[in-house]
Amino acid sequence: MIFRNTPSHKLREPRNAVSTTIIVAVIVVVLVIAAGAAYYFVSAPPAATSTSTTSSSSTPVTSSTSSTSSSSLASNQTLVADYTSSPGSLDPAADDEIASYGITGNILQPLIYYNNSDNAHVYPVLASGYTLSADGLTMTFTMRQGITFSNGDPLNAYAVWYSYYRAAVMKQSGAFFYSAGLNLTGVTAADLNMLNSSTNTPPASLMPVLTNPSNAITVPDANTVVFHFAAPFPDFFGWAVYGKIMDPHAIEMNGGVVDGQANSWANLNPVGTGPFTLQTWVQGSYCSLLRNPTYWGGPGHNIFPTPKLSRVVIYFVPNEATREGNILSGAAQVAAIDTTRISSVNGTNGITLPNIGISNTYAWMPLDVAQYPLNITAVREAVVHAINYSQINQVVYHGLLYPSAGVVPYGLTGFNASMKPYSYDPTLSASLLTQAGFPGGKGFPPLSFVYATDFPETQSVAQVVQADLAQVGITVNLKGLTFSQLIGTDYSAAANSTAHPSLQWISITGSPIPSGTALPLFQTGNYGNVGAYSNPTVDKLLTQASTTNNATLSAMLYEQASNIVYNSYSYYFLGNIKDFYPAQFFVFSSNVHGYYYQGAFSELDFSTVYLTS
Amino acid sequence: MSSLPVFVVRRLILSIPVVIGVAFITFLVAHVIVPDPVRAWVGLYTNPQIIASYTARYHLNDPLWLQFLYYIAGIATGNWGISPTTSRPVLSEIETYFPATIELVLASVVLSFIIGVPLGAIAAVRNKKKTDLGIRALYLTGVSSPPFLAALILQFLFAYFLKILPPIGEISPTISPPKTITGMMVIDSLLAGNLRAFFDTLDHLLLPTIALTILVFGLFTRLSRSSMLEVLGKDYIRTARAKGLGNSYSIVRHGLRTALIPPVTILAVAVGQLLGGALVIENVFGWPGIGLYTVEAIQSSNFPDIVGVTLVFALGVVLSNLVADVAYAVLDPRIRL
Repeated sequence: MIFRNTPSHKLREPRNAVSTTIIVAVIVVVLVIAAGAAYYFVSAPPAATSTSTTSSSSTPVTSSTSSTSSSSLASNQTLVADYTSSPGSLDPAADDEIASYGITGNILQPLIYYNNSDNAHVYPVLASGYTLSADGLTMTFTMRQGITFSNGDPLNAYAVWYSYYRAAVMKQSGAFFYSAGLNLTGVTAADLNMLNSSTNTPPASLMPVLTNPSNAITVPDANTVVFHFAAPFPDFFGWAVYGKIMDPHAIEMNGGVVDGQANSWANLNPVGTGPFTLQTWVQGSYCSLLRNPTYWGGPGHNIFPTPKLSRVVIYFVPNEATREGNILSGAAQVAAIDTTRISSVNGTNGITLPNIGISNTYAWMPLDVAQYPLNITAVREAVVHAINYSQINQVVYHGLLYPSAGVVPYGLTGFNASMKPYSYDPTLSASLLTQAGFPGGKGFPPLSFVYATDFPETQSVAQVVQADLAQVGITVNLKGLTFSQLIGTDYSAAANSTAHPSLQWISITGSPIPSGTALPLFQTGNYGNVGAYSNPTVDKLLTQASTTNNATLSAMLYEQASNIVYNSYSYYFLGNIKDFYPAQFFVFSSNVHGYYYQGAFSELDFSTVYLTS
Repeated sequence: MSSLPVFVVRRLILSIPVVIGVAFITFLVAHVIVPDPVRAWVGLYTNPQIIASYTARYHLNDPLWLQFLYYIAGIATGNWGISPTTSRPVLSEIETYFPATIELVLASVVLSFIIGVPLGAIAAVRNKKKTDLGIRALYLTGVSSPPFLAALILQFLFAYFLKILPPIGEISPTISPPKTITGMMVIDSLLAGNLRAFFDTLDHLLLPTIALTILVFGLFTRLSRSSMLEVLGKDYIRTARAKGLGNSYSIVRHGLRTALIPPVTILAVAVGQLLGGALVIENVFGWPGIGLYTVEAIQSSNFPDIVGVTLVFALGVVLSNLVADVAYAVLDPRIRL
């Protein structure tokens, strides 16, 4: 058979190939149109009032203490906040990280708390009152009546006892804050697991344990809880604000207490008496808090009031650029901002870094006093005078460092206002180096400055220090580790070895109590004393200062300790950071109001926050 | 093909020493770089009782070889240890986070394949013409772009500038997450019949998927193009045309199946690249997957989690290679396993 290439004999493609193609194309187009239509009808905006996921009305609540009229309040009181990291656990007995406390602080409550920013006064919250014995060794709390946990279980003194001892028995990282200054022994997991009734009342067989005078906490009745101290504990309140009270019945129904182990259910389900409840926690993504519909309303004085916000959504956004994009575009109303990005964001699109004053977050750089040649006083003096404090403040902290020095941060008992960071004097530094046998830095072994990569400003500080010390002939090698690795290295490398950081940046934040900074940082062998500083006189002064209820004497003792430490040149003090929430800088949209700074809270207390139109 | 089950079983058995080896190396490295893990986990605020508790719990005072034996024994019984930072079992943490990454990677693989293979085929058919040049420029741009940058640009354009897609997360907080069945929210929404959640999660999945696809679609395009070029020169294609079958029909019906073989085999490589890229993409979009979890574990020196995640990744690569080999044999009857 012969085929000629003529129109009449032109070969054609088989019909079925073309038809199939057309049919498939048509089907795809129909499917796309159908999907689009379905999306349009199904994803209609939700109704303005409550959805199936909320149980409370979205009508804003006007606080009786608020000066803002309800007409200026936004009708949608849902706040979106971008935090930097997600919590590991929402059980304060298991997790002592700021990310966790920042959320549980809105759900769980302590016996007492500060009046927002007022560090000078503590107010009873779950307690209605307290008394301190004449010898300062017994603190008795009377419980507030009529308060229930968000699941309806009653709050009483036994729940306080349970919460404290549970943390101690579990021995997780969160136990630290419950047991600070208290000897929480003498109670076992078996004892705790006996408190499992729906009314949170103990069986008679538990009463001997509850009233054992050898224990640090005793409960004579449902309305009274007594704390027993081995020595006067003037800073007890500063730790007690972290002692969040949990519902024993809820925990006992879900695994109870096991010695040395966390409770998986409690990690995910905090049940408290606070102004918010946990609606949803999508791990690694966000958590959603709802206004607690059965909230008792707080103790008054605008401390933990009934919230105006009906919902708070906290996104965990580790990426700085994304947090910035969210706050600048309005996708979030609050966002954590890295120190290095403040000037780029502050004032843009109505976003502000609020002026909240001088925080009690204290930054400093310990020198490794056990390492050669930093173990020579003249060398340390040379180092501290070679560093340009003003440059660090302007370049790294944008002028937000309040210059202070000594063992106690700004504003607390024992703070010495006249004590400032060391003067920048390279000439004096060079002279001291020569006296110490290192003229022009000759023969001076390289120092190591280990900075925390998860805090970008610390690398900037390290670079300034490196440049400054290079001018006097001292070589500084920089090394970046995550903060947790840095802490690990601090405690694994001997202080007198070159593996230990010669210099590093540390900051500490927390309750406004002097012993919360002074003892951990400056007492021999204490957990924050990473530069191996040791002075028996300072140890004694700090112990005395922290165990006397005489505020004047305490202040004097802290100041004496500060003088000794300052003149040892063992720490390069940077000072307190201004406008700084406990762990980071926060920027706010212009329609967010009511926030306040409190070092003990760990992040933001949303109970006082509201949105305006 | 009758040797296929034997092949699969043999490969699975051989993968056991591979996985144990990966676990050992990771275990060793993790212990070396985290000299005092307890301090790294509990931070500054701690006391000797807490330190002692963690040390005993994780056998940190035992010799390293004994710690590893404890670990392997635990793995074999399904106990991958307790995360020191979340206080929850490592395996259940991985079960929580990994599906989100699988969802992202699967979506990216499918999209990369759907886009890459036809583009490569078109480029081959239009060899050296403008279309071919344009497609090659496109995939080179994609492959050369740092995933972090591509993600930020997409986020800025579609989420912050045009405001048509959400910038972060897996689901809107105004919608209740569906009941967890697979852990992949798009699929779980569909299984729950919750169309609103389904479309919302698809919305959230779109940007991270596109960002991850940019990383890898070029791989499929390039390979598809080269293999199609090879197929187009074959005798049987010329014969098909000579028989009177049209060009399109000849290519699609006779050439594409053969040309598909190399792109299918590259799936394993693509999955590995996507898993690595997911670490970056999840960080930008706040996608709660294993990448984000791994980064947090590394930052907190959480070596039980790090070893657990590494094991999962190793298993993933081993299995994806196995799937690719099997698929190759299925597609090409000439291949004998």
